[in-house]
Amino acid sequence: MDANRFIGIQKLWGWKVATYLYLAGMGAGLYVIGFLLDVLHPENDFAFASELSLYAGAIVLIVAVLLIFSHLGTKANALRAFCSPGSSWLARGSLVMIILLFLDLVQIGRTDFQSILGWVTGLVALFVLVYTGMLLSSLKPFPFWHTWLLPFLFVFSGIGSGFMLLGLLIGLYGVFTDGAVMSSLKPVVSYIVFVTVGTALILGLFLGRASAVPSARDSFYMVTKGSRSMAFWIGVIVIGHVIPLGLGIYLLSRALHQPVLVFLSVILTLAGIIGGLLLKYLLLATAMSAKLDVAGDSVPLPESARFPASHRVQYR
Amino acid sequence: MTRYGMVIDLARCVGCDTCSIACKAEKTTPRGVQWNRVLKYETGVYPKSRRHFLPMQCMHCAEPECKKVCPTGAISKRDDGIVVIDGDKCMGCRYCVLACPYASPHNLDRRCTYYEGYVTPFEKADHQKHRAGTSEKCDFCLSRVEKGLEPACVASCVAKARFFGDLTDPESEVSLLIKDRNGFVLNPEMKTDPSCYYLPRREVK
Repeated sequence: MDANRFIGIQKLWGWKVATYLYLAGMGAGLYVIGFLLDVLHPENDFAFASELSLYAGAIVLIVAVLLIFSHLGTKANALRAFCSPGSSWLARGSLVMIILLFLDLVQIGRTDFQSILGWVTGLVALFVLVYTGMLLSSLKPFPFWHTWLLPFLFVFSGIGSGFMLLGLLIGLYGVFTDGAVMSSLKPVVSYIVFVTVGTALILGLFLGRASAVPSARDSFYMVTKGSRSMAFWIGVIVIGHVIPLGLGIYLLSRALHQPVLVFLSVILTLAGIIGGLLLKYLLLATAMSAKLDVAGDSVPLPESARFPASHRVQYR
Repeated sequence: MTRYGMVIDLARCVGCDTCSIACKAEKTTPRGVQWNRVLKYETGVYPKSRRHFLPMQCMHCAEPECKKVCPTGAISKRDDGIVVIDGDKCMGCRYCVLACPYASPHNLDRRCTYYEGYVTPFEKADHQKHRAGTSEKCDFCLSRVEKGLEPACVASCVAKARFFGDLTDPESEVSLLIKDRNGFVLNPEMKTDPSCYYLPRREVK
């Protein structure tokens, strides 16, 4: 094996950014879900689920904002983050995420998704979903990320994680109540099955493209066969996709008693949440810098290039 | 309009790292941070293998990716083509470090002194300029250039492998070297239009 294969792994953005991207997608996804449930089911069957998605979305977005704030090196300059929305996806995303949080909070209590404000908030939420992917895919030096498939993956994964949290909350709510809201759990599970299949398909396309593009192939090997393969196959595929799909299909095909339904839906959604979070972390932890092209010679950038030695130095 | 640029002759570079040390001395960069560095790599298979040296610093691109992605507007391009980071505006998101194809900006996560609990006189001299939680990079020794001097790496190069000048002047030394000796840039496919050119190394049979 080429000794230089795994040189230049991205380490600057770690678990905080991965969790931020996950929560930002989940928060925006929750609004989109509330909006879609309200539009697709006007008979008001999902009024509770739609309202719950508004509350949950706002809380998740607040946590995401706090998390990215804690990641900043100089927090005093955080307000400058909106200065260059014309060119920077980070500036665009930060700005639009704050707008979404504000609109989400305004919508709470009104729960009027089909007003102009509701539609505008829906578009803003969709933009946030796309932004979480564009933040990475706009980076040319990381061929693993530099594809239009990544924003698609993040949109599906964001909506999927929103459904997971909504399903979890409805399930937990069912434990403590008489179960009147449980009627919306099965339809939510059916959406989870649909979105999980969609995410799996796009993930397959994304990895297929990574295996075909020479500069992204090392990341592909690292994810599927290398040091991160265990986390990928067990965490992302089995826990994040197979379990939610299997349990989802089982739940939909059987008439189960409420305690069993609640128990299985909690397992299903928790598995989906863990898998989705792991996927974001793996996408960040396996991206490798494009090699330098020195008049035809391919030279790997050493890890220390982006990650100064001082960060690893321990005083003796 | 002036566009400062640099030409590095790979046929002359001996990989001595004098440029790296001169940069460190001039800029008093903290422990572990090198704005200028010399990458060493090998090509071929023994007994026909060769070791090469590739001096690197900020390429001061005409279309800098770091400037494009910076959300705070801390990175700007001067009229003379030099790309600078304003530490007062940087919020330390590290997006510029990831966006640069040449990994030129460094994020100073925390300030690491050379000795635990002791700041050397060398570090004290200019250390306030290196603020933890911000990104920083080569500025072509702006303070020297404004005085009409060459950047420290150019002035100190023992092999005379580095040249500095105006790329827009067709009669300047750098322009003539690029033209006469087929100067090339790193990763042209990134379309950043770097201001640092390299002259090809000698091929050994």
